[in-house]
Amino acid sequence: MNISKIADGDIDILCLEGRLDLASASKLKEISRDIVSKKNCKLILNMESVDFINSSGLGALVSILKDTRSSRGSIKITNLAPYVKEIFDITQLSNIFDICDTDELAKSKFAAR
Amino acid sequence: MLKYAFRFPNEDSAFTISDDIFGRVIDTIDTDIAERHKMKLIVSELFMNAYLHGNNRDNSKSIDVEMEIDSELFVVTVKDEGGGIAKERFKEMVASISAPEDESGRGITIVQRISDKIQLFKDSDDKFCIKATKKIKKQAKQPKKRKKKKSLEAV
Repeated sequence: MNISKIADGDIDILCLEGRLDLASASKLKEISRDIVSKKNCKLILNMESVDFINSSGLGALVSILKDTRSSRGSIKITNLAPYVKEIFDITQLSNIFDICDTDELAKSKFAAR
Repeated sequence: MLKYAFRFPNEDSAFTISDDIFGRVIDTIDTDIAERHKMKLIVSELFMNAYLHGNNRDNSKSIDVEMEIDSELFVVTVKDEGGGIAKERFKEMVASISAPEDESGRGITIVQRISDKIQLFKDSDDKFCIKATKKIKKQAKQPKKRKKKKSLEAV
């Protein structure tokens, strides 16, 4: 998995590309650790180019969500392919993640807080 | 019916290789991307279950994967060398989806939700098998584009 990081004001955006599975889950957690340890962090995970996700990948996202909450931060997931969104729905993770269609929508939600 | 059979060592390195192989096989199936994602997910979760729970990360053991594909069905059987799980316990596991905030424990539940049928059994070599069957949804045919008639002026 390729992960690129963009800083946009006080918002950090991680753009994920490829498979989010057992092999890449630890890489994602490692890269996001510095971001989510900041107090009141604002993180967008852009998953437009994620073409596969399994339970290990979902577990990594839940772990990042918990770390974000610990530091009183906020996380939003954007640009999910419909078939990836379906797995979020099946596992009921769409109930605990704020899922936005686009980065712009996620940013406007952060601004409205 | 096409049949594929693979044996992998129960090692971390097997994941990358196996996912690549399974992906290549599944990408040949005539269906849409969402259905192919589900098939890849079924194999991935069963393989991970065999590695982590069946063979308990024991590198001396192996995982067997069989895939059978015809125009209607995708069938995958994953065998490990563990003791297996009682059917009743398995039913309990899949009936109760893990709490959304749990970091693990949702793999087999996902398989159960996206497959049409799951069977647990021991084969003739006493290996524990999980067999998942999924009906293949046909890809909707795209309407043929009509060729534009060349105008007389253009000829």
